Amino acid sequence: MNSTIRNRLTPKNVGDWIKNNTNILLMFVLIIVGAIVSENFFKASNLFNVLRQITVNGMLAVACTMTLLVNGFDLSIGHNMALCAVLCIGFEKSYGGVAAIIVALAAGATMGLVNGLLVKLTRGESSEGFMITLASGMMAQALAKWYCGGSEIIRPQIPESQDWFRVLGQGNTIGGFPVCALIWIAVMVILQIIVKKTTFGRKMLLSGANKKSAYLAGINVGAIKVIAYTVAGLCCGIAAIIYAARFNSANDGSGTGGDFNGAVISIIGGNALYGGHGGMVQVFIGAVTFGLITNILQLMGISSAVQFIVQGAILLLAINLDRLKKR
Amino acid sequence: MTNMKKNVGPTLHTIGKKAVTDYRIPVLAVLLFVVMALLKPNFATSYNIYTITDSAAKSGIAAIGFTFILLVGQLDISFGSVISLSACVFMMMLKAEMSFALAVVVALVVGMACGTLTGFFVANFRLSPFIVSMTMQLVYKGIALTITKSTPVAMTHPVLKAINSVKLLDMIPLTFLFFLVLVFAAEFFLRRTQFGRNIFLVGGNISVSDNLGIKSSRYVWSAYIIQGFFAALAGIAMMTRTSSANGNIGAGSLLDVIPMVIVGGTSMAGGKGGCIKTLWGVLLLSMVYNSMTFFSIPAPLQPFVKGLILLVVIVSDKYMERRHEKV
Repeated sequence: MNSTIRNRLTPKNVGDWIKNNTNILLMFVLIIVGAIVSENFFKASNLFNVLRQITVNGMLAVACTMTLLVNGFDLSIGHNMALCAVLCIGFEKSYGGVAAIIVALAAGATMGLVNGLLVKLTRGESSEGFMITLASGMMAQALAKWYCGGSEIIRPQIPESQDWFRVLGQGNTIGGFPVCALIWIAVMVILQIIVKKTTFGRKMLLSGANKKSAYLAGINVGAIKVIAYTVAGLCCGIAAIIYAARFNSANDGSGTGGDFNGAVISIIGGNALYGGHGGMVQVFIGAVTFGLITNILQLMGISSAVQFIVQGAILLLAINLDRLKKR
Repeated sequence: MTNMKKNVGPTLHTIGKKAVTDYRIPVLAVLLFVVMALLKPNFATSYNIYTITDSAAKSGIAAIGFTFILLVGQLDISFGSVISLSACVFMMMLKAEMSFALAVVVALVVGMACGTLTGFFVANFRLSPFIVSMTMQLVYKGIALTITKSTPVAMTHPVLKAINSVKLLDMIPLTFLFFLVLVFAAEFFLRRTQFGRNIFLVGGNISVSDNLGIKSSRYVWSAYIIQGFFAALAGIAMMTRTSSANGNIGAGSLLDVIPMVIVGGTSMAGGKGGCIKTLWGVLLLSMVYNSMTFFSIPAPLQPFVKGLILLVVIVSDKYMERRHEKV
């Protein structure tokens, strides 16, 4: 009985649906705008190009979402990625690709672990996480600058057939689908299953939504936060590997703005700012939306400084919509 | 008899206790100065004191504004970009051969306009301050880069030169005296006016002050405007020595200023602290930053040490506040 009333197509229900799914609507509006602005928009090459562009930021958004879900915030993801990227290229040069991947993942996870432990120590929520990761991000940038000596670290040229590391960032699978996007989607699928279908994921969402009741229900909120921040750091490491393989070079400024991009993607995709609900589907929607916005701005020939302003305006709009949903 | 003992006056014990509890930052600052002066003969020279007070003035003026923000229980990381933007506007006005006074007024108005915009979203929509300020940081930086076309604006103005050449006792710049005047004016404003007292109340407990009939959002908003004003002043003060502005000039001051205010004793939770406390925090940390150059720490690692100080300050502040809570 109830369900039939809820499913009826009344103006109020339609309004509610629009209010709750602004992220999807925004994505479709942008796809239509993109199709109008450029006739090449729907070609597979352009779409794969968009996917390739959003992968690094999308990976950072996965990291940001993991911390948002436990009502935290990670501002260090950009600089963490820069640190992992310079380490990755530095080790790739002297010890080979496998060592580079291991080092990048370990460095990212360590950064995340430290952030998580400090947030646990302060019993922190998003504002404490924000301040702590602001400081640790700047420390990561300083370390990256120290490691690379203030200049670009560049991978030496190797014949393409022997260069398997490069495939991670630039290679294509059958049909031209980029490998890096495949990695990104695989990570998102795994994390989505963990968040939505396992006990651990449910505990995570509960401790993000209401840490007091989660504590009373016997959940070790602190430990869950530490794990979430560590996974976020690990995602930064993966993002750094893709970055290194894609651009073949990195410096201490590689991650500047990455934290902001990650947060924008995560929030315009529809993840709640204060934890408790959201997931990787939202990250995907947000990343596609963000990629389309950047792509359209580029197609219209707008300078990167103005793009800052546009992206800022979009994020403000998104957090206003987030508030509207809760009202 | 026991009553009489209380009235004996300050004993060595009570003085010692007071020195540790209430005056530990001034005591530490004086101690650091003495120790450094004994260890390194170049520390207490008039030139080095000039360097310390000059950098203290620049960071300190911004720190006064940040004190207001913390007192009212909010956060703002956009002031770095406000410093850049107002410095750029100021130098562009001077380059366009406007009068000095007009350039100062316009720069201050720009700073206050930035504060008004950030505060509008925080106070009226009650959005989380860190997300808003993170966004606005990027927007202001984008504006600064757009109007300067991403190139530095340099010019030597006779008034700036004159301000820079005045040195009291051959070691204290005029900007530092100006900073001291501002500190005492701001402290008077906070302690002796109704508006200032209400800022403490709003920061201490926003729902109580709402129930008392105080328009909390108005106080939050005005704290952001005051912050914008001081950030613009800091931008102008920076120009007295460097005479060259660009869109990134204020980015580093974030890492300098935030620990100064918190070390001084203004709590991140709001409602506790003051501008005199900030003055001591500014002096102490300016000396610490200056001391780093005496111990041959490699230049890229100096931001690392600064970040470490910020991290320790934040974590210890929050840990002391919350150590008895379970989660």
